[in-house]
Order: sequence, then C-alpha cells, then structure tokens
Amino acid sequence: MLAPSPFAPAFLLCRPESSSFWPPHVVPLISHGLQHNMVWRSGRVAGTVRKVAIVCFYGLLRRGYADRKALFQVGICFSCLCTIIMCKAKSVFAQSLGLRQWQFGMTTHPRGRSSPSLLLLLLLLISSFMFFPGGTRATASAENGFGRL
Amino acid sequence: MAPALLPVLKTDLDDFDASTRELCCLSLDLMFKALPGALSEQPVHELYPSLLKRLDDSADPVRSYLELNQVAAFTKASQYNYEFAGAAMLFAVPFQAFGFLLSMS
Repeated sequence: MLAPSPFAPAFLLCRPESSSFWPPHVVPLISHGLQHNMVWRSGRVAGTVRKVAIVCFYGLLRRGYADRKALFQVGICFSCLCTIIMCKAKSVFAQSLGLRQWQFGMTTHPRGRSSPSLLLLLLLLISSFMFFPGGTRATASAENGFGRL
Repeated sequence: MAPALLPVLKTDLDDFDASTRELCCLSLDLMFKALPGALSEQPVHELYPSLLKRLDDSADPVRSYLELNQVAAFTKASQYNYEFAGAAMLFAVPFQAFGFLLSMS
C-alpha cells in the first residue's frame, strides 16, 4: 500500500471535478486553514506543512478560485463586526453634529463649547472595546502586517 | 485577505527550501496579476527589497522566473507613483541575467 502523499490536499484542490465546489469556500479556507500554516516556523515538519499550504494556495490562485473579488474580501469575526458597527455609528453621529470629519481626541464642539453627547459616545466606544477585546485584533494585525492595500 | 497574506508570503520568500521559495514566487506573481494597481506605498516598500534579494537567489528556477515574469507583474500591481522603483528593478535584471549566463557558462 502506498504511503499517503503530503500533497494530496493540493491535488484535491486542483482537480477540475471540484471546480464548482471550492469557489464559495475560498475565503474561509485561506483565512482559517492556509494562512496560519504558511507562517514560518522552525523545524522540518513545519517546513513540510508550510510547503503544502503554499501549494494549496497556489492551486487556488492558479485555478482561478481565489480571484480579485476573493482577495479583497475580509473574513469578519463577531468582535470585528462590532468594531466596524461602532466606527460606522461614530461617523454617522459625527455627521449628524455637522462635523466634516472625526478627529480622535477631539471632545469639544467646533463652536468651542464642550459637547456632553460626544463625551458619552467616547465612553460608549471605550466600554465597547472593553466588552469586545477581540475587536482590536484586526487593528493589531494590520499594524503588524502591511495595513490596507 | 490580501493585506494579511502578503506579509506571510514575504517571509516565505526567505525559506531555506528552494521549491517553497519558487512556489511563493509563483503565488505572488498570480496575486500581483489579480490585483493590478492595488499595491500602495507600504506594500511596495515592504516587498521590493525581498524581491530584489530573490533576483540573487541560489536556485536557478526562482531567479529565472523572477526575471521573466514577476518583475513586470510587480510593477503593474504597484500604483503609478512607484513606476520608478520598477524601472530600477528592471535596470537590475539585465545584470542578474548576465551573471546567470556567466554561471551557466
């Protein structure tokens, strides 16, 4: 009996029979399955795992499953979604006050007097970050990585 | 997804296994072709030294593939402000090709 090849997942990905199955699952497959295995770690086993992950990623790119639309998509978790919603609410609230753009640390109204509603919103934002500490993970990874394209 | 994948692929460009480096170059080439004009200043500045270092790679397939395909794909993927960097890289390619021919001879 032949030993199972470590590149069997890549062959499964690249088979033309599975061309209709993989495209909807490309984003979670890359973000949850391949991305962490492509990070460099020491050791021969880690090197083989890394090579297999890169082969799988190359297969997805070569077959056209991971196209431009998929590469621009973001795998969003619940805490990231909460952060995005809070940022959107913050911008909508700032627009309703007549501010053209939000500046971090600005707690006074443009006309000079302090705005208690802005302070309330700031407290709400801080409490949201306390309740959803994973929401800052996207920012941290963006700072460690290349940030936005 | 691409902002998270590009740093990972950049670190894999320095892998000790030549086939992994070649696969990484192939993947980066396909990503550059899928994202024309999408790379801004920071990704270009991060990727440019790594790609330039791969032009002097010890493995022939990595070096030749970079010279033939990836430099052009990288310049197309970067925005128009950074065409000068691509021009400098294209200027470096003939010297690397000359060294490659010398090593072959």
